Amino acid sequence: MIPRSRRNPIPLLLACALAACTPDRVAGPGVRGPSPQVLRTLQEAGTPDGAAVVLESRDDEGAELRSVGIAFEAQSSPSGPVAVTVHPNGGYRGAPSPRHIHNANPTRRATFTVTCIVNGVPQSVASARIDSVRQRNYGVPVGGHGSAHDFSNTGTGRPRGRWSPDAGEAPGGVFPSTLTAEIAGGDEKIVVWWEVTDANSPCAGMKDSKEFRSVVRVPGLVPVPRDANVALSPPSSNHPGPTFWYLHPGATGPTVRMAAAHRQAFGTPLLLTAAGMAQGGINDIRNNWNRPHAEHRVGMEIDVDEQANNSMSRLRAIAAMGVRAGFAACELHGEPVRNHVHCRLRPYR
Amino acid sequence: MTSTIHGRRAALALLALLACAPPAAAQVGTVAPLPYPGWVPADGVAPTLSVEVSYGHVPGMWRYRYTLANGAGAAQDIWQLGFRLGGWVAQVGTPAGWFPIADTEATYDPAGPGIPGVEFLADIPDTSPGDFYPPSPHQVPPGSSLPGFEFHSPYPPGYVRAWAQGYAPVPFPPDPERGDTIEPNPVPHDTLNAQRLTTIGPFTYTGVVTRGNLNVDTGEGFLGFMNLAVSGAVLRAPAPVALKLSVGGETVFPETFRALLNGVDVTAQFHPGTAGGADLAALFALGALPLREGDNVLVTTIEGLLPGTTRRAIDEDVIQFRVVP
Repeated sequence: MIPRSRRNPIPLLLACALAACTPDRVAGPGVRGPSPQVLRTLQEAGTPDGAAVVLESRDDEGAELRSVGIAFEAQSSPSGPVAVTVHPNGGYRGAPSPRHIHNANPTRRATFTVTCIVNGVPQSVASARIDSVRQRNYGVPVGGHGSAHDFSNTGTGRPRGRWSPDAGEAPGGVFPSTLTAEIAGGDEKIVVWWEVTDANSPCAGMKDSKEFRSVVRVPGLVPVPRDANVALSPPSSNHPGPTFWYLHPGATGPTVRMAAAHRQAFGTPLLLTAAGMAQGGINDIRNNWNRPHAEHRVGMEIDVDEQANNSMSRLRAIAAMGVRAGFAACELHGEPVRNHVHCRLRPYR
Repeated sequence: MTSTIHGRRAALALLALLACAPPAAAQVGTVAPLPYPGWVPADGVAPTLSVEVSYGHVPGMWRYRYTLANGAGAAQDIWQLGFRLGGWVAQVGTPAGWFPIADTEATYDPAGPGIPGVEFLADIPDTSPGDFYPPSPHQVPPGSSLPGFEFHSPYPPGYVRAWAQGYAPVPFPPDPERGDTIEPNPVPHDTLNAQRLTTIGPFTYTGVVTRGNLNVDTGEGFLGFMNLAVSGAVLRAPAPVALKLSVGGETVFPETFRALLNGVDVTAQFHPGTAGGADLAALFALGALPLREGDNVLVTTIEGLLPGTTRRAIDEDVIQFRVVP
């Protein structure tokens, strides 16, 4: 193995720097020497190749590099892997409702850890402050919701999760918090701003921000089975493509079985008008992140059009087919008249 | 009382529940909390099912014909009748004004989700006078009966579950799509929100209870009993008897099968079942000789080849069983 000192002239430059030399490249009044704290840190680290590390990490002007960092469980960036996956909450906007959650947990406890990074080496800090932690939309459209939706990060835009607490002191640089998801599925990013308040840290007073990718998702949903007895209503520009034809795996069997009974009884495929979004969450047919269709969140519900002028007898027969096929309940829904059958795989409580 | 019912509405709902409360034998029983205001159970019926079973009207098929009666003491009309069956059906017949949902060979899947079988719904008008299903002019009122529920199946008769649901003008559940904000509690499943009963229907027999008790040589496996035990069994009338031929893979001669029930030759009453299930089955009704209430004796004989030989032998079995109405 080639010794590190042979690969480049850095040890020599370092020696000059430490001896207050002024080599041509780094000479001048703008050059800052390593702070005593940095040097002490490096000495304490006992890195055999420490001197080389110092210069390798210097900026173009030869100054040591310091930055603040934040660790957040699985590290990621907005374009990288998912750091956090959380189930959408079950309620209407801002108002969780247990009956829609189906035993999922829409909250996620997490810990942000602020560090001081000196020449690439994270160092703990005695104190820091989290200025804010916010959920922001990551790209549009997202979660299967089309461009007719409001994706702004405002009160009327796409509902996003909230951290609690979302700001405060972080003793030891550690800031525990809890993310409570909102009703909409899809990608979000966590944006956190912080400052090192440890006066003894090399990073004292330094601020920074970082983004992580998070996803609100009902995991494990599968496409509605491509079955000759199942027909899907045309997509809309507001929920384009196949992204809203997803179901909980347990709902596929009853759907296919119900469709077979429908074909047998009426000679036509079962016409679905709603299922679940690919990532779950609210299936808002009015593009406003709200009801109706608030129930189609976890892939356990389907809507069936009866295709015969809202006939009560036919609606009732379809509902009976759904229950026989394995749905816990099938009810008549619709506004202003009951015009379709809504089947759910599980009772709400 | 519940988190979903308040004040005057709660009182009205409770009154409605009490007014429609079925007798003490109600299937649903106490429902607390109520699914939603105005909901009442649909088990206020007193159903009985009489069944006629025959074989061969359609080649290779058993025919099951039912008459549904609703007791005079019932509080509700019957508007829905369901069967959980152990086999698929074909050629479903209904009384006038009833609609069938049935599992045929194409849809029957006992291992799949849901309830395999047949359901009959009384036709209702296409429009409703309110926010509830309208009543059917064809439903079965208390004190009356309705024949004509019928299906054919290759599966032989056995005990199956059925349920009958009553009609009540139950308001449709709250619907978020209509702006309803109340959160309904679960509504009992249709099979619970009804009166359940046991009847005879297509059935899959899966095991041999006994090979009989008389033979001392290796011919005992020529014939097995799939729902009767040597030590005695109790059957509710009408009484099915299901037999398996060649239990151990022996060569048997089905044409030599003979059966005597209480000394009367009933061989002709046995008909084929389905592959993998009972090979022969019969249904005996009380009131039609030779079956009688109480103890009965079934004697069967069949010839076959003793395993590993070309020697012909007879497997004779005597089985006693008790029949209750």
